[in-house]
Amino acid sequence: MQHLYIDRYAGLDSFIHKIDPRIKVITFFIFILYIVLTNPFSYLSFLLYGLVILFLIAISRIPFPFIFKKTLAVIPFVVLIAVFVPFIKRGEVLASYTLGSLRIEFTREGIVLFWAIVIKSYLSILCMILLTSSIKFTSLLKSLEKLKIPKLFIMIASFMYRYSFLIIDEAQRMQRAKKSRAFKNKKGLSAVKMLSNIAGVLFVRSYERAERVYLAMCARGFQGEIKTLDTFSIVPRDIMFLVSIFATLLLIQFV
Amino acid sequence: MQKIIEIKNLSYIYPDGTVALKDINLDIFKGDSIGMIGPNGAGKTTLLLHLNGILISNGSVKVCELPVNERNLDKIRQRVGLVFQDPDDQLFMPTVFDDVAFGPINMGLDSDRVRIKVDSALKFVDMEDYKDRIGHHLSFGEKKRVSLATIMSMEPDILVLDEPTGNLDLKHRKEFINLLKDMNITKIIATHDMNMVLSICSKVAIMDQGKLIAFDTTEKIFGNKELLAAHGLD
Repeated sequence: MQHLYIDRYAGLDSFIHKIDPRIKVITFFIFILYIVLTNPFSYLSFLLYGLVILFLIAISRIPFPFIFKKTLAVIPFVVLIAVFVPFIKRGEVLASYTLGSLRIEFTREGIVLFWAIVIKSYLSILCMILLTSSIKFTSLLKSLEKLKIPKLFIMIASFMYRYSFLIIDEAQRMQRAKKSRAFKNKKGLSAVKMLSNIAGVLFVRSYERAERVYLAMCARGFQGEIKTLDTFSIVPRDIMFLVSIFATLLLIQFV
Repeated sequence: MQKIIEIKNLSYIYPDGTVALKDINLDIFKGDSIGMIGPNGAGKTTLLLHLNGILISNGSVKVCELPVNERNLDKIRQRVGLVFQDPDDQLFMPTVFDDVAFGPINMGLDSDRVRIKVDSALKFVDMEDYKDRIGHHLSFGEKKRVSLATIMSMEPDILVLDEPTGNLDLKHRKEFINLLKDMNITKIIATHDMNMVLSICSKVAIMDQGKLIAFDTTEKIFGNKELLAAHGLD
């Protein structure tokens, strides 16, 4: 069955793709730190950050629509959280409304904070998406492991990556089996019951699979820790990348 | 001939009360290739799980003279390679390379040796070009072959296979049987594929309802039509 992979464009062969995964993770981490710590009033800095990211996306040869579509998935959550900020933050009141006994105030500081949250998170999300789509998910996990992220997290993420597609397949097969035996499309409560049945069976099946996978791991000498071989090597190009991005960020600070 | 596996009075009851194995006695010699046949639920898989200490119960199992118990587990798991029926259970790492390297790394080999073993195991199953591929991108036949490689890279003395040809199409089934034929190690294969048993097994064990019904050479078992019919194997 067909799935959409988050690392669909990870197989491209561009300058960005060739950077050592560890260096790439560190570089983008620094980039995001800079974005987050920038003063909300330095509009020019944000513009320049945006241009740098667009430049990086361009040389990575990942299609722009692919990246922007992905940002659309995250932005609603950010806006949903940020939209209440102008009303909660205390400061210079710009406008106020009274709804019955409720008084709503709209502050200048709140608007600035709202703008800062939205623009900073959008730029950070662009960075994250560029990182995750220019790196194979497996390499990303391995690089995080080398950067001393706890093994348990890595293991959970790696099993999730390996088995989520399998579980989706299983759910689709059950859906199909259900359809082929259901005489009419039920609505309302019975549909909910059906769905909860499927969810329950899916859980039991996953649980049983987890048991079998664990046995298979034990059969090959698993002793509580997954070990893999390191295949990364840092070349001058990687250091160059890190240094030039860092230099650009510093320059932007002084603009 | 050297006795490589010795099973004495082995019984096993699952936690829910199902009796899976009843008083099994079986001796397997070095170089034997054994087909284990019997209806679904006969206890074949349960018996296989006892061979490398995944399940341990009363009665005794000895592998290469070592009793299967907690203390010998590491040594026994290096000697007995168990390939599970569902390749999605067998292949749990993100990439093919990591999967095939999992066993050798756990055996404590250094990274160069691990790489050599992975390469030769993948070459053996004709999957050298798939090293960086991701488990769920493989076809079923490819998954089956990589599953075999994950065990071959550990270079076991005894290969234990659960339904190696189940769900494979005719072409892949033939290829897989030829692969197994080429391996000169002790093999124990639980299967429903009678033609495979005829072509690669020297001895056959019939199991039914947790009991070992018969254990003899392939010719003798397949010559006894009544016995086969009595257990629904004709």
